[in-house]
Amino acid sequence: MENLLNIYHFSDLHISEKSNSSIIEIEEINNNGDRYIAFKNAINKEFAKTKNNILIVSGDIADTASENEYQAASKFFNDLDILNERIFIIPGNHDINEKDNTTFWCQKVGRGENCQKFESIEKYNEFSKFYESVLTPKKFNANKIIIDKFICDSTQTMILFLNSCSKCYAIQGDYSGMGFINVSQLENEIEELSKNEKKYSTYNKFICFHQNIEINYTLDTKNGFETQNRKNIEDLFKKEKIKGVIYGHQHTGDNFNKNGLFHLNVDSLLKNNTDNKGFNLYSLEKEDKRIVFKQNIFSLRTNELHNNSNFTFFILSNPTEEVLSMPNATNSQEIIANKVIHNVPQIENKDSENDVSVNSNKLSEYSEKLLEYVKKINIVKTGHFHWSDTSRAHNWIDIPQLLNKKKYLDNIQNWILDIKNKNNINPDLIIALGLEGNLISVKVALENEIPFSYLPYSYRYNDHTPLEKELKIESNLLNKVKSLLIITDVVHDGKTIKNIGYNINEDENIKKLFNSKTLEKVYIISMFFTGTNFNRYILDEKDKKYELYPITQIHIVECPYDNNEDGKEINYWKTKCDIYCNKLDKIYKFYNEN
Amino acid sequence: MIISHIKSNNFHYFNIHAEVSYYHSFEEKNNTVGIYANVFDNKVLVKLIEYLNELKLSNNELIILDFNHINNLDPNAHTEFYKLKTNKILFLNIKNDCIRKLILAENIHNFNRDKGYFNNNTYLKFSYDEDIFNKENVIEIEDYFFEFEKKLLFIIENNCLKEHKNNNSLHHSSSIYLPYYFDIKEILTVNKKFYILCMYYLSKKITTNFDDKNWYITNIDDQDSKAKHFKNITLFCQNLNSSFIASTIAKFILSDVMILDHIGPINRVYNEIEKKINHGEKYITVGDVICLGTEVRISKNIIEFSGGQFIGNISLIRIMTLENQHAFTNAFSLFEINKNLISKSPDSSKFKNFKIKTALD
Repeated sequence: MENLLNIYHFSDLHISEKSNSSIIEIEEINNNGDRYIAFKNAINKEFAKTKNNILIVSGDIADTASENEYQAASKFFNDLDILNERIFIIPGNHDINEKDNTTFWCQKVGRGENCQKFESIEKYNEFSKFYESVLTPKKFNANKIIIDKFICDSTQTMILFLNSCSKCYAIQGDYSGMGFINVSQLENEIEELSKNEKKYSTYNKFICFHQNIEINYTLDTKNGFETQNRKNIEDLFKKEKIKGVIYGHQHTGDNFNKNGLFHLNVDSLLKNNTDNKGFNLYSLEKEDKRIVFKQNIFSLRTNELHNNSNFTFFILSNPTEEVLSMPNATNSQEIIANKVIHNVPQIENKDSENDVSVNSNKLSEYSEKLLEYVKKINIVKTGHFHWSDTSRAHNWIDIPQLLNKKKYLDNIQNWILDIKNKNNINPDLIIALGLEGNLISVKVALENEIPFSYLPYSYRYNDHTPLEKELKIESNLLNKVKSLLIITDVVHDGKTIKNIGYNINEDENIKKLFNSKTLEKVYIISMFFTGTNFNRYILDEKDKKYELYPITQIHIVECPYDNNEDGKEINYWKTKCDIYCNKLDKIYKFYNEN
Repeated sequence: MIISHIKSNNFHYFNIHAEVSYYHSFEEKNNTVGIYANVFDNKVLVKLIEYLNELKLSNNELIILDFNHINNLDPNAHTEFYKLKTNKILFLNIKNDCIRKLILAENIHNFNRDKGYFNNNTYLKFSYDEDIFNKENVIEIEDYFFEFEKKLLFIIENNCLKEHKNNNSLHHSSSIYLPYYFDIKEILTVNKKFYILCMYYLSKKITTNFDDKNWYITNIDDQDSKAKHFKNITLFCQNLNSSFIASTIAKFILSDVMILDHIGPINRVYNEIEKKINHGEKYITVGDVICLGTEVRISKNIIEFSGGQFIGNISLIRIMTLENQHAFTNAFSLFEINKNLISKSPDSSKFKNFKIKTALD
């Protein structure tokens, strides 16, 4: 698929000068706080990946629209590596300075109750200064509803940016943030636009404003737009063949199709009192004769394992779900909107005060990249998977599928080499485990003169010929190996590694190697750690001999294990596994039971 | 690391293209050219000069640098080349442009052309020391590759070919008994550099032999197109040895690798989960040792049944159990055990007793 356009969308920053833990404070930006840095790094990194990007900010940049708040907001936007022309900002109800509005009308109509009910353009003074300084040379015209537009020819897409805050603070109390669009004025502006811009009639049109036009998540009808105004707006959108609306305000990221109008809304970017925080990426990709519209949700998570800071952004993901199909107005192209929600790896939150153990147990810097690959080709399977009587799980990572493509395999090989070098792992011998281990280790094995060999996975020893189970190593080296590096695709609880040296192996070389008093350290580099709590010392906290360096972590759910009275674990799953007993999912057996 | 050093009684031979290919495939972070590289980068030249200087060769020892498949050098290659602390060098297959970048123009003597080794703007042999021609003219170019084959034969016979303890061991995939078996892993252990060199030559076999077949490829003139073409090929492997061989070759030829672990029960399940063979894609099966070809046939059937295109087999060792006219033609290997080898081997050689047995023997 050819990527044609990436639309990054965030909203509702609510940068505030108040000292209130539920809000992002000016200080957090000015002092480069963790969340702020996490966001800045994430958006800059994502934005740099491709060329055809724009950023939409759908309002509520500030919390009370004060000068100080917008100064911090200016730093915020200046810190982004994004050209002004690629940024589109609209005001939200929190970008209206209530004081300026009231002052203006009090001066004009005199003090009294009535002075608060009027709308003014002066209420945009602070926002306007911020807008024009950040988006130079763009000018903010408070008298217009359509304040900006974006046209993309490759996708035949036009986005109109509207000011929906004209009555904010003209209506006091709980209604003060309600959106309002003067529909007849908007009709006139559209008519004028369509005269000057011929593409308007044929292109796929999207509208961006601040308030939610649908109330999906609350029964509070005071959110969004007043009922009659909303109906009028929807009628106009229908008449103008608007494909979708993009908005924020309600701090809830989702997309849905209602009455033929596609809704794209986003979480608050960083506001504390919301469960989800983050930004959206809408990717428009060409696939054959259609354009696929995909939504990726980037969510802020506390996670010490994946990043040096306490916060990082993850792409939430799940199986691709088609939510919208719209014919293109001018040709046979079809726009299809997909919500991409891949499997979210289970991330363990750790006590941030426990700095020492946390630092020593960090995953690799390539963790997120590998997770991206996993999500992209959807290789985490659910079901009931058996590799042997004693190796069972309810998930399976189809690693051969991932390693099948050179572009992924090359990177994984490079990362393993990099992890070895950056952690000063200088082994006397390298051993790869399994076919997958062979594939991922070929670079680390052949770019140097360190002796190398390979073995099958210990849990599948019976599947291999005696030759395959032999460790090939020069005999005079066996007692000289102080440091061993094992490369494998997955480490779960370390049993597979432990079994190589201690349990089932009949090969004399392996026995000698693992029983040698000279062997001081066994390093393990794996693509995935699939256990519950990642610990660098996988076999035993006290056994510092074994050190694990996984690229990333994906938690795999084990099938129930237990021993019978004889201490043997035989067919326990046949009576205790919910998936098997209730036939909830497919049963995959990778071995012959007998 | 220098991988192509073949030492004989008379010379030290180096294959520059093998070194350049190895550098791009394994030492460079982003491998985009692999074996299709045709420029002798200064990074590789520096490495080679350091290696040669560390050898501390005497003035009588001849260095042979084979430039076959090299079309160009860094413009300032000569500044590095002059750091080489030996003068007794014979260049093979070096283009006129290349030698002029390596050695200052005034040092190029006419006797290089006079010996009749200059053809098609390339010196089949070149030296700035006329004595080398006088002493070495008995050695033909083929002899240098013969030294590689001799070394391969030695390693296979002495490190790789082993006798089964019970003399008749049942083969794991065919209905035969084998008194001998091949320990492919041992090659890696004995000499990792030589293993890489073997993989380089095996990769060259893929890009040249498969190139000539009409059923596969036509009208490919330039290296970029060839690289692009081989990127669309998947190497198919199904055991530990072949997975390591396939992943090494894949680094050279820039192809994808598919593993189908031990063709048997496990893959019946794999295929239920995800159809791994893609319709219309081209597959080369990779083996360590091909004996009767049972696993090749199984692999071929799986590939073709699933809609893939099987275009041939590549193996490190192939036992020629059939006459050439009956043998599978789209198969290439680095080392063949055939009746010639067995009959011509001395009585002391293990090859002399190499046999495939059945219960009828």
